[in-house]
Amino acid sequence: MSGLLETTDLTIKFGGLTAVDQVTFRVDQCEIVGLIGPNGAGKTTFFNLITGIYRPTSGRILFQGKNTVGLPTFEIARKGIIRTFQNLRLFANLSVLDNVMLGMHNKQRSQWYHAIFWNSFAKKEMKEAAEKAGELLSYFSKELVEDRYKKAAELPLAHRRRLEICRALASDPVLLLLDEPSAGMDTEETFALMEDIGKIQERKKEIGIVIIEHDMTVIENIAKRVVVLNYGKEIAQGSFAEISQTPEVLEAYLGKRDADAEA
Amino acid sequence: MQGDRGYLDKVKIFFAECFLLGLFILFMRVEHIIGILILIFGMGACWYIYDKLENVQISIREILKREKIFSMILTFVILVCVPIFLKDSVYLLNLCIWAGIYVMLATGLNYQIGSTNIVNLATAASYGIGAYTSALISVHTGISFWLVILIAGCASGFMGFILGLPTLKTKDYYLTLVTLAFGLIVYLVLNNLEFTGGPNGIGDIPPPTIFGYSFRQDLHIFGMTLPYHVNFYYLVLFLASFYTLISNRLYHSRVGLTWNAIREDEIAAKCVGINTTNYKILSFVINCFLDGMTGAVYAHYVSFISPENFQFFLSVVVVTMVILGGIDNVFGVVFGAVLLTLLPEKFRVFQDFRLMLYGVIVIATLIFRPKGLFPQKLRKYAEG
Repeated sequence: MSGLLETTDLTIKFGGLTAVDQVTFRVDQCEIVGLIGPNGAGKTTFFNLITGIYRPTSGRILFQGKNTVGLPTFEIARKGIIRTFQNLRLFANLSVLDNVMLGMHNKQRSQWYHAIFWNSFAKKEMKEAAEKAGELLSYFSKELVEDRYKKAAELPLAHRRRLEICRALASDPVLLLLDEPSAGMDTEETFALMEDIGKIQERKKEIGIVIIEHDMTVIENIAKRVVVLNYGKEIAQGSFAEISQTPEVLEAYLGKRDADAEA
Repeated sequence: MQGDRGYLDKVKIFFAECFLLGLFILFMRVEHIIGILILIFGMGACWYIYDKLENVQISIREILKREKIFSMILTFVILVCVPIFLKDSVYLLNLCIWAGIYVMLATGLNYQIGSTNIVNLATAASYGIGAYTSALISVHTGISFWLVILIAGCASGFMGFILGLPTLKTKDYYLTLVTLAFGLIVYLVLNNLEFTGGPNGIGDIPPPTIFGYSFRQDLHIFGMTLPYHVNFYYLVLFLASFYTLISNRLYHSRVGLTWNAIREDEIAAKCVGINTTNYKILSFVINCFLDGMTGAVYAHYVSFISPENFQFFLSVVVVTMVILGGIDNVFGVVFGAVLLTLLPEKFRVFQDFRLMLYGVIVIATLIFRPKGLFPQKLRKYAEG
């Protein structure tokens, strides 16, 4: 039985640099897989490959059994693969509500001719989207609902990260790719983030999640399985407990000499 | 209670709009340097107060929202009455028509510069292709103006599509350069092709007719005789209102929001499933189609066109109107178009300093208000 997402020997080279090196990866429905590795290991590049921002040099990507290599990014998003970004890519000058509504773009039907000649239809669709967006926001955060007409750029970091997750969920994803969602957060905010991810699973059980993280608390608590990359290659795979003892992983993070200090 | 407030709102709006009408007529009529300066400073002061006081903005917007239909109808009625106050001056009527034409061009360009952040420097080209298409068809065939204007729109719209195709491969500044080059090419083609009359252009373009009534006839109504320019004023008023309505509708629809998403972050837009190429091409086609119709109106108004009317400078002027008026703010763009049509004319009193003063105002606005006099407002939705 094929997984939700499967990559086989996925590779991308930028000139002489092999950023992702024959990575064979799999994530299933209802699963949360952690993707970790030192900076520059190729984790975000891997996400970029899956979402079609980069085209692989070689290897396969199958989503729900079908090939996605060569599809434009927006098509891949329409199939249900939605991501968040390491450095946040919100629509900064638009309101919180607008950001979430844009997540629903693919669910909507109105075109330019509706707007001009059948305006009531266009308006109605926007009104319904606004209501759904409000409901989605309220599921995650009262503050976001109160601030829904604030510019996204004016929110504090933790709220912006939460907003990006809300926007991602507004697209009704089948596979959710989270890229360092806890970066820049303190302990309290990180805890809230883990609760949010729990809420995501509650709201939609079949969703598959891949999460890139540097904060091992998060990985430990929510990832069922962990894949470790270093220099573009997969160096370990297993439960958190297993990989945190694997010598190659310790070496990747800590270097050869002080490997014992971790234990 | 509700009815009382509604009545009070209507009275406020009525007096405000009559006051603005008076101001407008005064501004058009005044010839004296001191008078013009006083008016400009006065308007600038009002704008400054409006801009600084959030509550004033909010209360004005509330009142207009509550009495939306009333204020729109009243505005339209007032604009219909304007020619009566200007019937003795063909010069001023012509100026109003020009303001309307620039409103049409600016609202179209706003879809690109304002909403999608595509700096399109080829407005003169799409405007010119519309004008020439309509002129050639009108001069060589007997097809009615009302069909010709649509054909001209289609011709320019098609040009917009061609111009938009490179968006697949080029972005931002490079795309701007492509539009710049395109504008120059169109000018050169118009200037050198025998078919389009070369530098001599096309003359004797027949005026539009409606039920046998020619637009070049003076208008006799309610015992007054209004010069034929009034016919074109009403045509332009009708079309400019329609363009403004379209702008508003597109802005508040999924299309406008999507354009803004592309402007804010194109990669994020793609990642939420937006086909950014299609939406960018759409902005080109809509802008150019509307420019084409505007060009047809222009050609049939002045009855003689030549390539000199469609040079790069015109594109720059329209870009300035959009940026100065307010990026992605329909009211701002309309205001900017009207202001930047009337100001250089009013500055004639300064004679040699006219264009310099105009330039100073534009530069000052760009330094202190790069988002324009009336920046984009956040969208609000009626929520249940």
